[in-house]
Amino acid sequence: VTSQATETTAEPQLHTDTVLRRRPSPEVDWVDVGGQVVAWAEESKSLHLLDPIASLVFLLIDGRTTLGVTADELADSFGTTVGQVEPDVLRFAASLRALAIVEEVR
Amino acid sequence: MSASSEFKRLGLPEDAVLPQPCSPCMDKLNNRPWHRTLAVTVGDVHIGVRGNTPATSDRLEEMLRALRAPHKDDEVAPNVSVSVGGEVGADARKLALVYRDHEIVARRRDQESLLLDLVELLDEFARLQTAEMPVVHACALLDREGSAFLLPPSAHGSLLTQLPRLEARELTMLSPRIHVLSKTGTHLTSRISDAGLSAVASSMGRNAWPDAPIKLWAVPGTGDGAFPLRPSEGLFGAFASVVTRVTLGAGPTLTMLGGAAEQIRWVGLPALSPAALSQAVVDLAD
Repeated sequence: VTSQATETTAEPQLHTDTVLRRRPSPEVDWVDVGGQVVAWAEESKSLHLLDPIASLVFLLIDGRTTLGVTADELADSFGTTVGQVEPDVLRFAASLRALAIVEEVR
Repeated sequence: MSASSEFKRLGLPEDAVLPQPCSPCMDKLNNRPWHRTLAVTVGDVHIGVRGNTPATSDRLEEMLRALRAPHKDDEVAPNVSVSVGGEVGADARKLALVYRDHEIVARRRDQESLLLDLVELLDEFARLQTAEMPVVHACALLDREGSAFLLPPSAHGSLLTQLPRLEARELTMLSPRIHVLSKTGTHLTSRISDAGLSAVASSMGRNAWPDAPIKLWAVPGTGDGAFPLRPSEGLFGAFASVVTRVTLGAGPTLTMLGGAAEQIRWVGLPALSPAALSQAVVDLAD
C-alpha cells in the first residue's frame, strides 16, 4: 500500500463549467469519517486522506453539478463571495482529479 | 478457512512448505545448537518447529502430535525455534524463547507459559489464511477492564522485554501479532483459529479467550511520544495493517474501519526505546 495525503497545491486546470464525478467502486472506494474522506484508488493502489476542504469538494461532486455552481453553494454556506471560494474549489477539484479519484464528465 | 493465502501470495503450490528468508541474523541463529526440526501443519501450511535440546524436541513432539506431518520433516525450514533452559544449574535460569525465523516473538521465565505462547504464535499461520474476517497485524494488549489496545507490530518485540512493568499496571500483552477482529472492526477476538491448535491449547488448560472491545489503536507516527489522532487519520494509518484487505476488498475494509473509527481512541506512536514505549503505553492506559 502506498499512502499519501492529498496535495492541495496543484495548479487550477479546470473551469467553472466543468462537471466532475466520483469514480465508482471498485476503481475508487471511500469513506467519510467525521467530515474527512479517506479514499482508496485501486489503479494506483494508493490510499488518500483528504483534508476537510478537499473532502467537502469531493462530497459535493455528483456528476451533474458544475464546479461554478458548487462554488456558489459553498460561498452561500460560508457566507462569503463566490470570488473568494471559486479559485479554491477549482484548485481542490484539480487535486482530486490528479489523484484519479474523480473524473471529468464534461 | 480458505486455501493458503500466504502460499498464493508467494505463488507456491498448496502442498509446499513455508519458505524461510536467508539473512545474516538467521545464519547466526542457525549456528547455535539445535535439535531436529519437526514439520507441523497449520491450516494448509507446513511449518518447521525445532527445539534446542532433545528434551525440548520430545516435548514439542508430544504437544504437537495432532499437527505433525513427519513426511515433511526433511523439507521444512526451521520457521519457528524454541529455546528453553535445562532443569538444573545455570541453564535453568535461562529465559525460554520462541523465535519466528530469527526474531524473538516470545520470552518467558517458565517453559509451560512459553509453550502456550507457541500455540498462539503457530495460530498466526492459520489467522493469515482467514479470508472473510478482518485480520490485523498488530501488537495487542488487554487492560484491567478487558479492553484491547492495538499498537504497531514493531512494539511487540520491544514490549517483550517490559512485561513485568506492564503487568504491574495490569496490562497483559497477547502472544500473537496477528489478530482477528469482529466484522464491525470494534472487537478483538483472540480465540485460536486452527482446530488442532485449539485442541492443544485446551489440553494445556487454556479454554477461555477474550472478546475485547478495542479501546485504543496506535498507528506508526513520528516525534518524541504518543500524540492524538482524529478518527480519519487513525483509519488512514490503520488501513495497511489489515492483512485481509485484499480478500475483503478495499471498500468493505474502509467501511469496516470507518464504522469503528468513531468508537476508538486513535493515537500516533513513534518508534521508541523499549522503556520509553512501555511508559507511553502505561500513560495511555491511565
